[in-house]
Amino acid sequence: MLEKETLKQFEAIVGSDNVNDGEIITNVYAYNWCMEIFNFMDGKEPTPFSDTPKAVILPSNTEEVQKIVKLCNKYNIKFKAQSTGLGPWNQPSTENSIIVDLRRMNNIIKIDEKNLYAVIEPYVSGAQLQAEIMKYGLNCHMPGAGPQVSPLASATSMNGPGFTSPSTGHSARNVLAVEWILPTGDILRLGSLGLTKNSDWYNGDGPGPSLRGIMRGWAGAKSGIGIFTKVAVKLFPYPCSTKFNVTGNSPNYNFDVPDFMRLYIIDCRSYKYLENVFLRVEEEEISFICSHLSGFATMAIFANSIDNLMDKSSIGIMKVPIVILIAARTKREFDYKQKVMKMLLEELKLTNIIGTKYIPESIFYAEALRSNLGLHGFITTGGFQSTKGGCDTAAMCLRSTEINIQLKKKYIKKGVIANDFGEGTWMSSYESGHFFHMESPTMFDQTNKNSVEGMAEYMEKSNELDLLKHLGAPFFVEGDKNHDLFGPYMMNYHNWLRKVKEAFDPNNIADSGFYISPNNNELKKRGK
Amino acid sequence: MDEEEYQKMIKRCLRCSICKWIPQIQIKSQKYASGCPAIDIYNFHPYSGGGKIILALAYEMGRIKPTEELRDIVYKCTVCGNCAVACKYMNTLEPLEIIMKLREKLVNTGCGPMPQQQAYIEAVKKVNNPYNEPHEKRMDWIPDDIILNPDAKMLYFVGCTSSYRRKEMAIAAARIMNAAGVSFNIFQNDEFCCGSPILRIGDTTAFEEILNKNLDIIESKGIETVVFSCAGCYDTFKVDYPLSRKYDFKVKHTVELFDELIESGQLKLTDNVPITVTYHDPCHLGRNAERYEDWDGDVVQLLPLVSINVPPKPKRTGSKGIYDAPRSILKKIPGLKFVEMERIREYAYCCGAGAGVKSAFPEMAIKTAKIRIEEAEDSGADFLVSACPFCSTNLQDGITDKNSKLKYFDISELILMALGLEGEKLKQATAEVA
Amino acid sequence: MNAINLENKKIRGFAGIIAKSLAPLNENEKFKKKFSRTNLQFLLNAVNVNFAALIIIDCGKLRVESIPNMPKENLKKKIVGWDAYLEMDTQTFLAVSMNRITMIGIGKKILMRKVKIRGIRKLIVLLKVFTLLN
Repeated sequence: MLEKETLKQFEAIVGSDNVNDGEIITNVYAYNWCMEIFNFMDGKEPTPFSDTPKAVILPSNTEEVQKIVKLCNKYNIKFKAQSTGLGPWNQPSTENSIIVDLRRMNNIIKIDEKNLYAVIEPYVSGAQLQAEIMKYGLNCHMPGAGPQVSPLASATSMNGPGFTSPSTGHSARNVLAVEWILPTGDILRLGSLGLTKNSDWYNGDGPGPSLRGIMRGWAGAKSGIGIFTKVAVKLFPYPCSTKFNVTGNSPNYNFDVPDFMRLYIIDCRSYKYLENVFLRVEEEEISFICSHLSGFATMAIFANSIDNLMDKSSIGIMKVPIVILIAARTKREFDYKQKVMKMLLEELKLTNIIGTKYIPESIFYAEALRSNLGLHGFITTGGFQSTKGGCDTAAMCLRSTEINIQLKKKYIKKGVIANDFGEGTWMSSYESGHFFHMESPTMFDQTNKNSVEGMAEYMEKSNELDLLKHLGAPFFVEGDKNHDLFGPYMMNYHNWLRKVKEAFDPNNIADSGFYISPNNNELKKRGK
Repeated sequence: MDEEEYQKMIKRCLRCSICKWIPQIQIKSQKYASGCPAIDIYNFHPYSGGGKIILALAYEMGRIKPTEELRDIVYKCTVCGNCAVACKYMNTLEPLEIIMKLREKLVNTGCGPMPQQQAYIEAVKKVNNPYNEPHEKRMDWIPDDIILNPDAKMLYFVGCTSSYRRKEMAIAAARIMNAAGVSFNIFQNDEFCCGSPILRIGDTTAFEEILNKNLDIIESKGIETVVFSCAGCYDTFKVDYPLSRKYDFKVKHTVELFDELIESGQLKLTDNVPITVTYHDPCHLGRNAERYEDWDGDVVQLLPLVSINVPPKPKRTGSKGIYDAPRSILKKIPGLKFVEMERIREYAYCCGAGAGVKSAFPEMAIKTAKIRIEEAEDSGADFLVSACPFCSTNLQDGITDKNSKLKYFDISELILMALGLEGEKLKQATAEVA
Repeated sequence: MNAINLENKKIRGFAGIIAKSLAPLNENEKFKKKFSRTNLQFLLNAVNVNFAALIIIDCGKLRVESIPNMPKENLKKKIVGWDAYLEMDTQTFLAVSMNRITMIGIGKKILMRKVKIRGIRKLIVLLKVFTLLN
């Protein structure tokens, strides 16, 4: 709980209805998915609860956020900002913290149809944004976590791969101008928003030095470097007709599949050949979705329960499947893309199983368009988390996949993670094969202590393997322990990252749990 | 939900926030993407379906105590079931059942229900209705010209809200059945509260007593079909009663019966009703009115940590609610133009009244109603129609509070108009919107 | 216990999974033609779960019955009347059905008695049936 006087001051900012320091509310915010794994890694009891924050506060605009941050500085209370709050990286790392829940900041500020960007606040969900921009024939990037999460959070603070990445890129690449409340409470406006005259949202980099790398780098700072209150994200042409008609009843909806969409699922048979296929297909710049998934994962994206997942063995039997979805707005475009795919299949001597061995339910296409496929990862055991996460060349990603198989099989043999034959991978192309990322989704049972501990151990071993075999930085290099582990192997970036933290957050007020802590000696030198 | 299942399930929330929205692929606009009135109004995560699952876990782990604050959060919820529909699109959690079980636990510890809800439970025990009205006056709504048949095998179970508060609905239903020549009876002294208001706040012990009392009476009179015009009573009899005690008679809502009568020609809709309407799906007629199916299959462990159900376990996702019958009726009314809201069928937005919210948190009930009314206004309709007296009360209160130009009718009133039996009402209504 | 007497009874457990996966074969013209004169019964037993699956091919028609696999005497040839028998755990069955185990891998499991085969010649017919699913 907060001191009475402190609570009063927070109440004065947002109103008493929008701040709460009682045990009921704060305990709920202490809970998150996968928290049991991170607790175990830290030598704590593997419960799904982190440290309980002192309070939760709900600001409604930038000015309120600024005041909250300044107050946190005054009382030396750390803040942890969150939008929809999915994932352990939303959790405070200390009880001396306040959660800034940005739910009330849910406006779409602007849709610039001509310049292809939208300005959004933190609690606009991907599905909400997409529903509005579809009216203009436009689309947005949504992270793999699903359409219910915040594109702002993904763009400014947290990773950002997505199923539609061949055409919509990665969240880090889609950020334009940003309104950023620094840990000091100052407002920083990045890009063209920072112009003194005619400021606008269209550019994330100029004038002057771009701070987007500092702001989020590859994996994002997860609230460790401030709070983002508005962001402009790039928009893209919607890939096909925007008619989105879903009928029937949950969960077996029917979808009027738009004209000019076609799915290909092809078995590349070996990882080496998959690399060729990926590069060759993406070279032609025709795909809306182009992902490699394991046999099991490919079965999962067409299922809505574990019971009907097992019906899809005609897909699961494929050794190294690639999932390609092409979509077009005109017949001419569609004919062209189909011709290219036909040419590629002949050239690469591959066969599409869709239409012969398997016909997906129409709802798959709705989920593909709405980027809802990632949530299928939870079907098997109810819990999953990814290891790896490297972003690199196709060759590197596949090397990472192959090397990981033996490690994963060890833990499968122990019965602590679900058996996907070690192959569990999601690898996606970005911007027509410009680069790739892979991650290894791993199913575990969050209610089973052995499974949680086994999963934690597997994740740590996977990180070690990334170092040992030079597989690039995985996703979850976050927090001091991992940065200090990886940094020395990666040009000591962790030292620079610490300097960034010290420069932007001299009072160490933004919760560093999933970012990096400042060097306390440095702070002492500065009288902090 | 039994205790073992409850203890397992409360550990499985992924905190994905899906429960706050309507199913993702049904979202058509930013404005109408949300599905949960509680979190829409109160904003803190514990108010969501997933938030209440975490509350349940924290409570079981002893991290939180049964306090007034806990009670308030748990009862600021209409148990509309949207969270369950949204979650179960892909997951196998049962947010709604967990909330109900948590309420049961709070009642058992004496922490729940809310004082206003306790008052109406006492009223039900004393005078057989939650409105504390005299039981003898329950059937005062019956006009003299309504024809009843004491030997009929069909019973019209009117319900407390229609009997005491929304008499126009009961009168309309009875007149329609007379017009169709349907032989039916009403238990004039032997109709008692169905128990829904008590069940929804978690007093399962009191509910069991009411359930048995009602079933004893109905079964003793050889009734073959029970018809309801109240969605709450319908849902309670259809879905909740069989969980404790099976019975042989059929249950129907009046929209199902009336649709059949129109289809068979027993009801002839001849008069023009030239209005534009939109239909609000009551939670208790829609997504919650889906029976539990027995399953005696096997759980087969395919792999360590991975089990499947053989055959697949039925999942209540709201798909078997009553959605088509009311729409079919509306489309058959001559001259009537029907438009849909964005959130409909199993993902309809709640009216805001249910599960004791109207009595314990009237401001929440009205705010929710106003959200729904704005959605009805945005549909382009002049009239809002539904098939539940509770929705009727709350939505009309919302219309008044919002100073909305929208008018409200129960679907049975529109049928009467189309039968030529409510000419004055129709005339007045069309004049008001002209 | 004659398998024929088990007709019309519910297909339980592991047998239910097998039944569901083989069901498409009854609409498969190749299957009907190729096995139009085949009369064989194959018993698949997944040791870690209940209910073995008795696959009956009867002149181009296929059906599956479930047989409780405890006590193990239930599964004897003289009681069930199978022509071939295959025993392993569900994990291995899945690996086989998804082509994720090599012949060497199966061989190892046979040596370790984690896979048991009886009537291998007849079992080859079943493998031919399975290939039609792909």
